[in-house]
Amino acid sequence: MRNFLLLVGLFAAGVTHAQESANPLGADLGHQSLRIVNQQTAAGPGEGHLEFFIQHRFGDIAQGGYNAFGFDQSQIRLGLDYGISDRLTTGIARSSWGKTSNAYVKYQLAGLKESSRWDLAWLSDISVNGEQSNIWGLDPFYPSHRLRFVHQLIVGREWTPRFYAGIVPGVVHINLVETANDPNDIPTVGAFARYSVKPKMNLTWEAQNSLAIGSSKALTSPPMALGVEFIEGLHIFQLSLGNALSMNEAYIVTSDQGAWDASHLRLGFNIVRRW
Amino acid sequence: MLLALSLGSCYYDNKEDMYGTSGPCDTSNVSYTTHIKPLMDQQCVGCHGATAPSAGISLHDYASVLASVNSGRFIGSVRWDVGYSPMPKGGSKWTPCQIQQLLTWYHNGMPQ
Repeated sequence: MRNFLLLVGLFAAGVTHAQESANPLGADLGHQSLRIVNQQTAAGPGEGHLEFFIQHRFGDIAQGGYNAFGFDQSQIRLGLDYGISDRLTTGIARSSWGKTSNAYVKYQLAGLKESSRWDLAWLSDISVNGEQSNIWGLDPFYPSHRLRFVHQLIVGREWTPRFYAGIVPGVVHINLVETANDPNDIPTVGAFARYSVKPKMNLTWEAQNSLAIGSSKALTSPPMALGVEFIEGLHIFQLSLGNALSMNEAYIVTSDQGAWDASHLRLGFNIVRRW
Repeated sequence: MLLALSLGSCYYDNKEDMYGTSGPCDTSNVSYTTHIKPLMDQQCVGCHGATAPSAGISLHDYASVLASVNSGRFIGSVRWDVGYSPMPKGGSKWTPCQIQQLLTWYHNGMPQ
């Protein structure tokens, strides 16, 4: 209920404010929002602009009507992104999944010129698992066990004025893994696309996978999501259907979270507000 | 700065070497009989047995576990998800391996 009231309050404030200020959302597809569903694009909000986002992922649709098709099981993530300069973006977020907090910096290496169809950015992220140490069942317990790191090179291209897509090679580092055979460094790859159906409505797609082939970190059901997003003033509403419950870059691609069949898909949404 | 922090806080630890745990998490051929029932007996049946189960939720056999998982409350409770009553009540959370085995079993169609 508290989350709902917060949403309503932010929405109301945003609608009022949006009518007063110039729209900082970029006209090109790569800059309309920083995230496709979970995957970040190469874009930043621009110098001095702040973006607030709320992400929700629900339980399996197969839970049926009694659980409102997953609605009763919800994971939430709240975060802020801020443009220190046109090239440099930083952000923080808190996820209910693993009680995880994260902070990141993203530096846009190329793509700021209007003549360029390419975006290129480097993202480095640190995640801290906030679960109580006794839950881990490890004695002695070291705080370093809580940490994971993500580094990504995000390459995006506006193929046509209506179609933006990219690829994201990266690596996830996990400080503590289960066994000596599990890799601490997991190479990853992601891909994303955004297609403009009409000026304020886009279809989106993203997928990620672990490249730790042959190890325990190889995925049988890599995360993937389809979405539709609506842009209203300074707000973006993103609805998604996918198989991942986690929304955090350090967790989403390191363990199977749901098979890709009709009974294990889950709905989700992101609400974004930019100032 | 974050890159520097990453390098400074980076460790290559594993539980097996640090704590001598029993080895890799076995998620191959997970079935109710071989993996899930021993977990239930150890973690759940004490309160959620066949007779007078707590909250009316019995977890003493395959059918009752299936019914509970299908109700949509079981996995969230075991995983201590937000909005769920964390289980086992007053006990330690299942280990990541036990939760992974449960999820694998669930995703594979909950074989008996």
